[in-house]
Amino acid sequence: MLDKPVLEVDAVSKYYGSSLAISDIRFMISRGEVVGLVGLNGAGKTTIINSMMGFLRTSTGKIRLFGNVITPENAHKVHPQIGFATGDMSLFTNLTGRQYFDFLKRAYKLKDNKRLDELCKQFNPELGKKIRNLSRGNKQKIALIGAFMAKPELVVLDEPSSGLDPLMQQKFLELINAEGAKGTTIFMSSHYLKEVADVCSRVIFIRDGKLVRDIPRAELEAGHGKAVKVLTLNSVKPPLKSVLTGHQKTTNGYELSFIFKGDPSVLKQWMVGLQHLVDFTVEDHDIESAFSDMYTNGKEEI
Amino acid sequence: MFNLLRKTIYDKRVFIIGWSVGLAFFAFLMILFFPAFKDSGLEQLMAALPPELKALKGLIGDVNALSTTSGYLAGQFFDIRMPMFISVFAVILAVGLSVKDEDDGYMRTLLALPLSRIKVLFGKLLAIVAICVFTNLAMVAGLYLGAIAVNVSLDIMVVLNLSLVNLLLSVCMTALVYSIGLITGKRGITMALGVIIGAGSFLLTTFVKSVDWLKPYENVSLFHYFPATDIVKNGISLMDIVVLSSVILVSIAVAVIFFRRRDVR
Repeated sequence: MLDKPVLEVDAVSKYYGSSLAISDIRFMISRGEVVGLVGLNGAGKTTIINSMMGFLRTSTGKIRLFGNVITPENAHKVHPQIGFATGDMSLFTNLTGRQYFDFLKRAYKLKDNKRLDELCKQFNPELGKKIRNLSRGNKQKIALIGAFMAKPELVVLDEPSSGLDPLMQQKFLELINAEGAKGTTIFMSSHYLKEVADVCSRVIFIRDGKLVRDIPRAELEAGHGKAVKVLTLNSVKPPLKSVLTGHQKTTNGYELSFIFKGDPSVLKQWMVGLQHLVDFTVEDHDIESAFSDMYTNGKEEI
Repeated sequence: MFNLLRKTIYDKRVFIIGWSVGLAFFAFLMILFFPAFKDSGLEQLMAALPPELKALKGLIGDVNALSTTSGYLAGQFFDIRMPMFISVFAVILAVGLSVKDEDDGYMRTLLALPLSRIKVLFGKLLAIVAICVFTNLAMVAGLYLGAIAVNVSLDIMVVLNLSLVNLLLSVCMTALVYSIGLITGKRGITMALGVIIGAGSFLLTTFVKSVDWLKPYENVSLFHYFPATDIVKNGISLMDIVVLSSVILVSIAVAVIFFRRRDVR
């Protein structure tokens, strides 16, 4: 028998008053998956996560976590299995980091400090200072350690790496990779597609409260083609299966740029056939650029 | 729940210390003033007052009773001043534990833990009761320190009765405003209603003795159920205890119903 999905979001919509925040969102996450939720600010990522955590009541549809339909009344029943952190998490600022972890230990009824000690060694947070006196990055370390210290089956992270310096961001991504490898299910939202694409096996795109794509990382990486720029003495047209991104006359000739999404051998043949070619570059059209295209070009899909 | 109770008490330690020291000092001063108050020809002063002012019994109190420590405590301390302090105390504490915590995002952090909303509600309510007990004990300590300083005796039963009902009124006011905060989740509404309940009760109970048309509404005031001078004469009225306890129970029951279901920002 197949495992029940850890998370099932079934036709969920949420209104704030008369304003529709998310509409008919549907997806599932299986045990051990690391899934990213990507969208611009205000797209509805936090509304989805807050509904999952039981902070909000969905207007229509159902969210199931570990098979239980989540409502504000019963969400606490699955919380022992969930670790949660956000980029702007309101930690209890009157407490020191150590006192905060003691509070979480009692809330999760943890018997030992083994995992906490490992995480503290990895992230090296300031434990003795009041949280209110810590830098944003140090607060974020404490929030992330808090999310993982109870060895949860599911970790829910909302914009988790904001505030971390590049070194800590790298450590955070390593932690996600290690936890994912151990079989922990992770659901994280971000507006940095690169970060999500680095660690997630699947990426869900949300725009204006609607789910627009739900694709495996492999497909995401394969699907966005080559960014080509050529400089020629005469004006040329791009090959078929290209999206033109620029065409202008310069002092050295004609500069043409496009995204090519077809068979690479066709591109190679087109390049060989070019007369009066002065210069060229061919690069992978990276995920961030594809993401940017998706949101800046309106309805265009990547 | 006790984890949250402990954390809340720790978070509110400055509030607790501040209010405890403040109330103890205030109680100490009030007793310190008693001998001078009694010896300053209080009755002669009252006789010289115009009839219009004498008619305002609610503001001035029973003059004969004021010459005893119990009467002075009831009429000058518990009947007039303490309700004002309780109103301010209740609004600050209740707003801090309900809507301010929600506005600051702490409520969401708590609800992400394996804690039901009911446990959060009752954990904080227990903290309210504990804080009210601390501050009331400090106030009683201040009274006794004052009594020792000026060498007057206090009737232990009178002090016990007055402070018990004072404690119940503190818990009642705070629980009521706390419930409003949890029900609405809106700071402005909670503060406004808290001030209306506190100031309204104070004005109603103070003026009802001299303004006849207020008479039908006197039961609406929470302070009506803390008749300090009557408590000195006749002891605690069971009906007052029942009413104040019922307000606590009903407000918390309504808060449970709404807070369990509503969105938390």
